[in-house]
Amino acid sequence: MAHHKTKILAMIGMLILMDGCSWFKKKGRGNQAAPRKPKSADIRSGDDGEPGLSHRANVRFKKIFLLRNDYARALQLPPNQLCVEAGKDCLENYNIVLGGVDANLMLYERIEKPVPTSPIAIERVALQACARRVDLDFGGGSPLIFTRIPASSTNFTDAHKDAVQRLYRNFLQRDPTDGDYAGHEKLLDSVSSMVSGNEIGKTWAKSACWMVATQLESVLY
Amino acid sequence: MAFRLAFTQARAAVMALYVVALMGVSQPALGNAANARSLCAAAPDAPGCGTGQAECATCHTGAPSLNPYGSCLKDAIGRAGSVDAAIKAVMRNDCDGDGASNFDEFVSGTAPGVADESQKSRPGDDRSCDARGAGSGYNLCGYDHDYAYKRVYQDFCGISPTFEAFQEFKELPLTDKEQRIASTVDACMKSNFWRGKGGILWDMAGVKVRPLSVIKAGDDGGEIPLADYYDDYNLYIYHHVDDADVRGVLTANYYVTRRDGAETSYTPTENVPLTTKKAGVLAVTGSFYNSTQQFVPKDKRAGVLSTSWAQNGLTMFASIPRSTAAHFYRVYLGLDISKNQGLVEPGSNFRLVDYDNKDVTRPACAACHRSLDALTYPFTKYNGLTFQILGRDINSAGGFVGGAVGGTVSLPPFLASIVQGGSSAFGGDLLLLGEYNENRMKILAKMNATTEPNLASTPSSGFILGRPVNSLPEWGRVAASSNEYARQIVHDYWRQLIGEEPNAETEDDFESLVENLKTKHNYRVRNLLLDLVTRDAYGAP
Amino acid sequence: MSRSKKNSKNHKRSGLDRREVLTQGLILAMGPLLWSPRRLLAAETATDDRRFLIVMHGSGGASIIDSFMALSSNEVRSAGGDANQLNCYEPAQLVSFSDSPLRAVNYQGTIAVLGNLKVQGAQDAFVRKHKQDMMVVTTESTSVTHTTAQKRSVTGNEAWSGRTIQEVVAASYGKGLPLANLLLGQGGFVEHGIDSSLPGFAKGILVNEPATWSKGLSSAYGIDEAPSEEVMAVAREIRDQMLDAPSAFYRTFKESPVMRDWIRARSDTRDLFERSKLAAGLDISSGNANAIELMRVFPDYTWDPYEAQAILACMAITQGTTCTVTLGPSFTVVSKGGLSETRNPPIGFDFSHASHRGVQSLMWTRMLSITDRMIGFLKSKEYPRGGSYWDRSLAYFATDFGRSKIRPGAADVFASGHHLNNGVLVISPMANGNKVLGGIDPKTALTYGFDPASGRPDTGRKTEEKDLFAGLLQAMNINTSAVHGAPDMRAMRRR
Repeated sequence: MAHHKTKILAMIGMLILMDGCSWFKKKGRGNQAAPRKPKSADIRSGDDGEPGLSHRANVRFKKIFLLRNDYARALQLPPNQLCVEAGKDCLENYNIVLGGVDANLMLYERIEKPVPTSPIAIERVALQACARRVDLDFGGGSPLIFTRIPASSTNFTDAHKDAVQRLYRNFLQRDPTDGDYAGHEKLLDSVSSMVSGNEIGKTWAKSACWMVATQLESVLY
Repeated sequence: MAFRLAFTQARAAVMALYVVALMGVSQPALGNAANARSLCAAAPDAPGCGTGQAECATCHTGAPSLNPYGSCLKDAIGRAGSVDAAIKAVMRNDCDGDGASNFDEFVSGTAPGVADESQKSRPGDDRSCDARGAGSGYNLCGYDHDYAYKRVYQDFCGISPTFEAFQEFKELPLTDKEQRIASTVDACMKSNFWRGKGGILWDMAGVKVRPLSVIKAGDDGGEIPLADYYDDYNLYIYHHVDDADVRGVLTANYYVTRRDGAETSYTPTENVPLTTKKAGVLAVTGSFYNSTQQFVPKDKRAGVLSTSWAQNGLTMFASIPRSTAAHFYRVYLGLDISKNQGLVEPGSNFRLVDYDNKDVTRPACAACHRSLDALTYPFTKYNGLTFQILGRDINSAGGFVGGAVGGTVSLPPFLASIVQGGSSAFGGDLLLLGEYNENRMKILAKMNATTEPNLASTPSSGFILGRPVNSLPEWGRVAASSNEYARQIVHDYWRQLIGEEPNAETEDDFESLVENLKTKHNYRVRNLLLDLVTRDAYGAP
Repeated sequence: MSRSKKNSKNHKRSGLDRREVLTQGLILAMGPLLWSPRRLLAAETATDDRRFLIVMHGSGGASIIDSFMALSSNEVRSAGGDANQLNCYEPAQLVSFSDSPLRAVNYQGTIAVLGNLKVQGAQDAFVRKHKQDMMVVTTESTSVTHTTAQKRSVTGNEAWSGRTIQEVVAASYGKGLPLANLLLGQGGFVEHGIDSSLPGFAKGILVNEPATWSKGLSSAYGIDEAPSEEVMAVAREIRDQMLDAPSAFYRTFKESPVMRDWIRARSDTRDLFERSKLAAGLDISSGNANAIELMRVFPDYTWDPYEAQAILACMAITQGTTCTVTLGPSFTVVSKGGLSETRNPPIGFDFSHASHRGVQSLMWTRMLSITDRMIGFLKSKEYPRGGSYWDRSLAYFATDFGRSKIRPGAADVFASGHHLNNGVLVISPMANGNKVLGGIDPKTALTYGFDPASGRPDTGRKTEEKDLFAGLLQAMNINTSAVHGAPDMRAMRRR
């Protein structure tokens, strides 16, 4: 009888476990409704199964005007002060590779497909813009994203999680998944081993911001 | 799309062979109707087989250079001994190596001589779209309103929606979602991001206008003000918003002014007053035209085809302004003559004459110039920068155009008094920069007697898309009502909003949008775009 | 419940399924490629026998009869022409050489409409110094429209399936180079070709701001506030493997060519640029040892974009970055001060519409000055296989078209229009130097062609765009069998 009880308990445990796993996944996706049988007119995600391939796969990269606006709002910075290089708005340096036009150079049509330096330019812009936001947030004023991040803590606290959530909501208009949080926690682990004391918090913040700002989902659509 | 492209492909094959024949290369004349029938005999299901003219681009990059299909066919002709057998022999080959046979490309309307990577089959995910969509957060079976809403915000408003706005949207019932998408598009098309100076439509206009700031007059003027192309930008944008008929870009007999501000507004106007900033050469002609800066009489106007910019900025010194005509043909109808597109035969009664001594009747040149010259004649009364008074070319006597450097015109002394005297002093023997002049070709013929003695006989009626036209306004009307014009408009927005060429999956959407623009939407771009954003091509992940 | 939570927590901490991470990570890092830096790396040692093309473009119409094929008024009269109505030069302004068929124009004058700008052209010094490498080829263009004509000057009017000459050279000599085809100039000279079969690495990279452009080759170079390289490397890896790879966005849309290109560019391409230290190596700043000498040679780079282009071009060639550069004066005004200090007039050579001779002299002087200094630098740099970089270089002075030949009433200041008839300058140790291929009719100032094999002038021939195109490539030891109908332009190669 004890043996049967154990078996039943194990089965119940397994059922709970499976349900628990899916519950966590649901939670990570921001409170989605339970999956329904999809219909062509209105299909929402189930959280089950391997995400499938879009055959159309029509993806574009964010051109300079959209990128500027999105970054400015996500980081609460003025749109023409995201980054400064050689004394001017650095986005203008990368105007063409970021899909801008320049009539003075007789470049009237914007590129539709990215060129090899397009992602590199965006990474530069993101790095500088994130650094600005982090400097402001750690600089003694009212932080907007990185609130109450301890300067030297190596623990992934609620403050870190809140910051990650803000980053995801600001840049990607969604909540982080469990995997996203795990990645940011892993980042903190790594930064803690590479950077000393009071620099840990700031360094983590800059690189966490940069990771989200340059995620595929942030720069492509 | 497939019908249209395959039809043009068939025509292209014929024209390609025709060009080869005209080049006088030592092989039998290949371009003729019989060979066009051979192509269709080999691919009887290819849509569009029948009468009509080909685009050269099926076989050529630029005549006589061959693309991969043209090279294949040429080699096959050498081996097979007849065009008929050669076309058949390569029909199942994949000459451009993109994974689709020549036959498949003809049938589906893609180019057998241009490699298209998207033809290659992708690794499969053979599950049903329902199964694929589950777990992704996207509807992979069709239109996804959440996905579309975000896109619409990014494309029309220039920013992603906030997290809160997006969450709120996702909770809406379906019909509310549809309405919200439409209202977002409508609202954001009124924004400066969309229609203001430097906005989306502004950049689209720039592709058509091809500005050159150094020769701009007016606001933001350059060092040698020749014309104010903001008038052209305004004309273009006005007809692409609200309830305007987009054909007006090529047919309007009015101009448009713009007021910048928190909201940008565009207003039609009969005339444009001469700018007070850097008027440049416009000031001289303007003094004969009531201090305005657009000089074409109302009944001779044809939208952007007849502006000071078109004439001073594009035509410049050309007697027969072929590059002006070709430019408009390309940017508004999508037909690039330098790539041998749109070479529509003006008809067997048309005789190509070398009016300006440019050797256009040489066989290698005539292949393009039969179409191009016929296209250009209606532009010849619209003067560019040639400035002639009583047989004297003012530009040669002191570089008048150069005299506009710095914004104000430095007239040679003898000219200042003449200009003061007024145009009536000249008895018609006056040709001003940027004006419409019935006698232009006669005046130029006298002026260029040693270099272009036959100019006076240049006709002002011509042909566009195979139709005879007697004036530039008529040219504009035929162009604006053409299928090519509608296609180019849809293509321009398609490129802006979808970012890739129509393909087998999306071509139906594309074709139906072209048809709807001409019919259901009555040439209103606003309605076209409200339609476009509801299509799977836009909103299906 | 707590057990399931704990298990879930463990699941979260360990991140992803290991196999999944590896698979997704590999896919993210690699991907099927048309343009593969990894393939390039493998091919790096395939060839070091390169040639270098420098397309030096004269925007607006650089006239050969106002330079190296100038006519003297005496010649025109002797031939029965009207020297007062033709663009020819008086003996005081024209230099002939006993040991060269080349001419030089030393025009002294004023451009009134540019604030009485003084022009003191001296082409003879350049000819004396470089004549052994200078070859003039008479040409006939096919368009009087700037952009069309400019593009045709680099495609031979679509002679090679629509490829530009820069693309052909890059495809032939650019394997293993990070930026095989650099386009620093403007207009139709820097347009891409239309041949979709061109290898991706040969496609031109447009550089619009040469002075600051190189920073864009690195995601962190010069950013003082950046975390350390080690931290950024970890952040990159976590982003790629733990955030992007498992994301619904990536997994749904990963077949997109844009997505794949993006991933490839931010990983392989970026790696290649970083390992090659391109951003630092091509940085025009005193912090870059490679740039210091060139900043002295071209000291006006801060306000003259043409000088900045020249610095970048020289660095890119001699640092193993590129095998073809395109540079040239633009259509915009360049001046240190006001109009009277204009170095580049509005619309470049095309300002000949206002003041032909002064503008031609000003612009030729400008281009020859830059070219002379570039040649000097390239001669001073040893090529790994021996000889200098200049030994393997060819500078092609592409231009839209010629200018009209009429000069009304013996005027010194007059306007000119566009004209199809012209000639072009080529400078190279590989070219048939100290030579004029073709001739000129002194009565009309119209040039005519030459026999492609012998180089003998032939009044019955004209050099078409495709002939010039093929001849330039042949001089660079490139097989031109893909150019339809082009002869062997033997006369253009050094014997």
